[in-house]
Amino acid sequence: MPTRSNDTLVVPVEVAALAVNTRTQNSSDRFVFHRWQPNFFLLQDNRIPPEPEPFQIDPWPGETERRGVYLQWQLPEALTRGRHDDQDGVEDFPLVPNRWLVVRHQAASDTVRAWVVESDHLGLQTGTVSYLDPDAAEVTATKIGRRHELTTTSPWREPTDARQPFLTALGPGLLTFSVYQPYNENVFSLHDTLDDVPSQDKLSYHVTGWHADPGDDILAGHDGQLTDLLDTLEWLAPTATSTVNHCLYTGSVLGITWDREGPAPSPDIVPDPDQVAVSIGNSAAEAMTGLIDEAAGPSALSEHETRLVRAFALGTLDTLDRTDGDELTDTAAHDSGFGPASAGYSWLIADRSNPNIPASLTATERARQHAREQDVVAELNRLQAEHDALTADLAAAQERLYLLWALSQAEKVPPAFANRIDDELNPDHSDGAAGRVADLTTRLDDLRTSGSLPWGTTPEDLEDSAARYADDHGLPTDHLLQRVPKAPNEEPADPVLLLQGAHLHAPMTRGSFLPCRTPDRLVTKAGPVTAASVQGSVAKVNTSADVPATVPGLLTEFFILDRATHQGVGLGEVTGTLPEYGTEPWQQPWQPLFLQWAVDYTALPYRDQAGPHWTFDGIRYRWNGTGASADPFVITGRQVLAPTAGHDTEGKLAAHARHRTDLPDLRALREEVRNLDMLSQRLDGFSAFLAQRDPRSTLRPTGEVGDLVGHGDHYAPLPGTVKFAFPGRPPEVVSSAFFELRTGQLAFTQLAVVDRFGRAVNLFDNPRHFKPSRPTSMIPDHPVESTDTHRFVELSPRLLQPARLAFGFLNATRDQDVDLTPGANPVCAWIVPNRLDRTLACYDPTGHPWGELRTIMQSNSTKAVVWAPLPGSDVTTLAQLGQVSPHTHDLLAAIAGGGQDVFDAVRATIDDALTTIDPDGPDDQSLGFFLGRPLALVRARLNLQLDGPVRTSCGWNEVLDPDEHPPAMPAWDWIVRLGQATSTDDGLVGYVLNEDYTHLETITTPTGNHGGYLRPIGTGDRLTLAFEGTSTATVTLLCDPRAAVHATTDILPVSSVHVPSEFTDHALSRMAVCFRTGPLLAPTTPDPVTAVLPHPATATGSWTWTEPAGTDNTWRTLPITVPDPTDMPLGDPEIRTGFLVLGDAADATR
Amino acid sequence: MGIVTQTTAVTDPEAAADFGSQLQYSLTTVPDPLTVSPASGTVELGDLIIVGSRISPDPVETNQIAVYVPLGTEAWQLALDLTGLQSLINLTGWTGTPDPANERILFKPATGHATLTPEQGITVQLNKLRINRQVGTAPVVLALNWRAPGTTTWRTEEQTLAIGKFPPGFYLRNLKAETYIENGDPVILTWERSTNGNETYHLLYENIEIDVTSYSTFRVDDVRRNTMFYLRGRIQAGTGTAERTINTYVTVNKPDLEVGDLVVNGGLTFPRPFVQKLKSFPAGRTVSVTPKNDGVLYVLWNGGELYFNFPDVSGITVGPTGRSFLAMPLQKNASFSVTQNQPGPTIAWWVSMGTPQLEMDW
Repeated sequence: MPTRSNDTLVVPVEVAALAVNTRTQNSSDRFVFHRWQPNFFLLQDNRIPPEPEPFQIDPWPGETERRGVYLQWQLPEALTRGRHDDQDGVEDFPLVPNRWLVVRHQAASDTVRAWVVESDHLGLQTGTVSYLDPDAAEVTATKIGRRHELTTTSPWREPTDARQPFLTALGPGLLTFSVYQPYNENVFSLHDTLDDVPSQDKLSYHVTGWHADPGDDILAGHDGQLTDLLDTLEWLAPTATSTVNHCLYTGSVLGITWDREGPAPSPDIVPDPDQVAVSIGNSAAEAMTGLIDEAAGPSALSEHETRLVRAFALGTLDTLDRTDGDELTDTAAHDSGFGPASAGYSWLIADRSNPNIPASLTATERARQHAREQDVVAELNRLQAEHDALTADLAAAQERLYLLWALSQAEKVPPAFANRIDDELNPDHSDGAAGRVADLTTRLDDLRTSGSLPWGTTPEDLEDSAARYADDHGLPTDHLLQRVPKAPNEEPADPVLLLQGAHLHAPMTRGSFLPCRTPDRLVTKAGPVTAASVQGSVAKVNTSADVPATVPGLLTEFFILDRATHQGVGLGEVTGTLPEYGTEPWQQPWQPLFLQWAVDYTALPYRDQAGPHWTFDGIRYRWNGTGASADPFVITGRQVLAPTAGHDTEGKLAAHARHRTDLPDLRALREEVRNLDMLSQRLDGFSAFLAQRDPRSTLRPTGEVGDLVGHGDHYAPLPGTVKFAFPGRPPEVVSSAFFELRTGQLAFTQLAVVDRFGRAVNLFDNPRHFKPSRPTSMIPDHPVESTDTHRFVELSPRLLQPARLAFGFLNATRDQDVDLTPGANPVCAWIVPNRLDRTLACYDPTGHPWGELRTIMQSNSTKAVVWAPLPGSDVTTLAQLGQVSPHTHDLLAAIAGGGQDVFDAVRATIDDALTTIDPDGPDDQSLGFFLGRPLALVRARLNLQLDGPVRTSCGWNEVLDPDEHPPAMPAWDWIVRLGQATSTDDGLVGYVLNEDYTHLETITTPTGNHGGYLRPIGTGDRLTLAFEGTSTATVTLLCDPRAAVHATTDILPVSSVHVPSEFTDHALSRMAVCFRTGPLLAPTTPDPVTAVLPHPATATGSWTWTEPAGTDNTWRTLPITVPDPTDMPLGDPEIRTGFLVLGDAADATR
Repeated sequence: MGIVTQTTAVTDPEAAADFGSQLQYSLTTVPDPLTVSPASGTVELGDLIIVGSRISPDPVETNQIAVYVPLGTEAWQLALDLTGLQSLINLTGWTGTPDPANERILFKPATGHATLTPEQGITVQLNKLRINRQVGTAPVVLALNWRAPGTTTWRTEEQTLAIGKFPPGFYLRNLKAETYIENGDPVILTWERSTNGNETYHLLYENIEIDVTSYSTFRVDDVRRNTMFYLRGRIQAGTGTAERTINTYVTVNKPDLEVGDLVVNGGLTFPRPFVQKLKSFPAGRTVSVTPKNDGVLYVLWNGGELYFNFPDVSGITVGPTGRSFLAMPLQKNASFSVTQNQPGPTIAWWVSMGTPQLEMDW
């Protein structure tokens, strides 16, 4: 009777067996073999990454010793998860089992052969796969993994010279170490050459893994809360008790058909390359639309369906029915090609006071407190900006330090470099890279620890620190300081390839907990096959010595299941619980893992002495087909394929269905979508190569330099070549090409999907005939070659470093940053188009009336546009307006100066723009007849900013003196198109650029005789910015504050600014619209005093009458009593001139 | 037929072992010959297949084989860059890695070092090389790090292969001849070559070089020895010159033979009669004699003197002592003159080392 232990948990592992017979090995029809192995001697001797470049593959056909069965077991997900932290580099990947018993059973002959795989054995001569010695101080290559055959005379005994456990799923730092079989032979896989097996047979394998040191087990030493631990691991073991403290990882594969010289094993789900559809896009979502068409044929979807799918994939389905729905989808597609990078933080005060408790402070005290808070926040934001700048500088300095260190490791370095590099890497040398990092680190630490601004590495620490800061600065306890991220920098992402039909192996996640068993739940009987009947087979495996005691029980289960399967006994009726994996009939595995790609890339010049070669069409840059392009070159990459498309789509479905009761049950559809046969991957490494970087894993510095560099992601540099061609002479040093931007066209030359065993499907034979589905934005107008143009994918200009378009508000009067200036308000004024009076009313930032521009007939019978004050206003002339609001004055003075034609054209253009912003018009039609939406006149600044210093060449000839080799890109102008003419989400009506008030740039095409004063924004080419520090633009925006103002550049995602409600709500609620009225005959009522006169019928707002109360600019406001035409007149009529005033309605206009 | 210039690896003489170099290399290119890329547009790809063989009877250890490929756009450079290059090596456990920083492809064993046994062959392939746009010849250097087993110091042996890059449309192939002829028969050589305008072709054999640019067939008469015929095509474009030589071997039945020292330890047989009986020399008249082969001249006469006059050598007079006998070895084509001063019976024999006779002008 097998020994069973109540301290053991049996954890299922998936085992896959690839049978390679002669036919399989030499197949070149549907699949080939792309197998490769790392070589850490490259790292040790030559400082070259150990993983071969893509398509550097080992010879395979014809090597007879490579036939047989390749058995690989897949570690449970819980053992393959870890965390890498940029701050402290923690890598808490758990130790994985380092002993694996592998048993082969030939059921027909009851022949058994067994091995123990010693996964963490290290030895250059005795190991199997190249590895990095984990204990060596220097980079030392060795080999890992060996197997020991179990025979009756050779039981497994633990080696006496075993090292400290070190093996994790990451192995020596290779992401796919545990899943790509050539990387882990005799570690997590085994190649059985089957030399002792007849040429035709049925084979089964069983695998059991354990830790040589039970103390390394993931369940060892748990604190009695086993259930919590199992929940964390996402394992389900209802029968496990708290005594369980170690695992056995077990799996089987049953009934492998072996026919050495026969046909290729079947069934085999390896895909037919002709059936794999390929699509490219800025994101998987964008690529998906094209892929559906590509996979199902051009007419599979109607145009409407294509539009729906695209919007769904890009998350804009909810807005698709809007007039600008397609534009929003296009923007989403464009923006999906970028990823955020932190641009720092700003602080604000969150009022957490209870609104139901009356304020204890007087209005004056509240104002004083508000002013104090604004001072605190402004100072804090200044310090935070200083901190963020230091952080960015430090990150850049660390990157440079890593770069120089990596270059110093090169096999050959130029003498000039060698002479200077020591100083650069010496932290005591303040002018060097290391010295600079040390200095910045110290300054940053000082800032963080000095208490001058709140700081914490966890949310809790930050919150505590902010609370202390608020207390120290006298803020009320219910007014909390909150740190919020600024609009991020945006980093262009590499394009995404999406494949459909490559035969997905498994969804991205299991979707449920992994069912584990305790030993008492193992299968002990299947039909007539019992434990007793397989005892002979179990006995053939020598489990004496250092094999766990539970193993015979597991073997008993394996032999029962194998024999039952061999005899055709169904496994439906068994005693015990079937394992999660391994009871299904064997089939040749196809487990897509890698996408290997190669493209011919033609870098196109963005501009040269002849000028720019790309034209901005208002949305994106398009190549003109001009300029001399350099020789194309090849960029290759190898990425891990992920079924993220299905996962992502399922999430979108869930989000779409959330809180919806009008939809059918989508659970089945979601499950179907989760298993969608789509694989996607970004062409990571593409931009890195253009940025002179090698994205493969390689060395990192240790020691002092390592501490200074930190744990961020850094790619190794590709600096060029150093050739010592003639002894005694200086070497010839050639820098690698420096690309200012990613601008070019690519064509795929190779594309292969490689599975975990190295079986590969080349997706096309002739690259000239390959037609990936491309989104419209990637189809070139001018392909770089005139033949087979369907190959080419155009990549519009993209920076090779994060950047952003800073689009922020300025104080209305002094152009200071609103965030940094206490009490600053970006609103210069409010402009209300008064349709009834045909005026432009002007209000101060708080909603008080200032005056209006109106047309009058002058004494010489000519019309003029003049300023007229509104009731209660002290601003009686335009000159006075200039003193209180210079920008408002400049705008209105220019309009007035243009005369009636310009004035009328401006009003008409504003009305046009408002029609676009809100095409349906107001709910209250009569209100729309009277006036247009109040427009904010706000000051803003635009600035293109790079994240950190501009990227410079890391070529040998430039890297030490970047200032002497400045890149040209920062000086190049980029068009910034403000506003979106057809979008209802964009509130821009017009803007004045850089205080040039002789023109107003308008979102719509101006009408009327404006003499050139109004200029349509068009593609926006009058507003250009460069990344150089001084290249900024200030604008005076005339916009509807309900909607954001967007800025389109193509090189960055669409930016937008929205006037914060703190600057608008109060003003809008206060604003009253005045309609000049009179002279008219209107009496007043005595008590209460009201003006008796009719007023326009509006569903919204309240009407009052305002009239001069004297000659000293005082005004009297009276409520209105509407006369009853059927009644006697009230009071004595008087001739009155004044304003009908509509209150509480401005905010309701559209 | 084969490629000559590419297969001639130049070895560093100091590094060469007793058996020549540690590895003997031969090269094949695909296409053959390599084609330069057009002036613009898609780049032409080329493969190099280099086979290294070890002739020495002793094993040798190696930790690295590097193939240095000159990169750039010049005529003497081979490829534009190493991007897209795919390398292969036939040895299990070795990896091939492009190392653009050093303009080379590194082949290294994952075991640190490996032993190359006698008669072992190494095949490395550089596939998808992006050939540059200039016609020319590029030196590809093969650097083998090696040491004798049991020693610790690694040495580097470098050999250079010159690889021609030709314009599209250039070809030189199928040099053919009757491979087996009788001694003295003519040989008619034929070949295929491109005639785009810039090519020149020369036929080379023994010490002869003939301009055959205008021909695609050529007759060589009176071939008496086994002969390797080389046909060299050369093309110049800009400053670059590429050269391709193909060859064919013609075997002559019973060829003429020229050797250095000849030591015969067994028997030596001349297959034809070689004794020539000569007429008496006419008294008082000078007779010119030219041996058409090496041999020995025997003269028996009675009375008078024989005066032998050799050019550049003092004449010798033999006699008059009554009945005289002279045996004189003579070299082929070493002409001389003989004068007998008085009439008398003279008998002369020419014993020739072969068929050709002694020629006399009477």
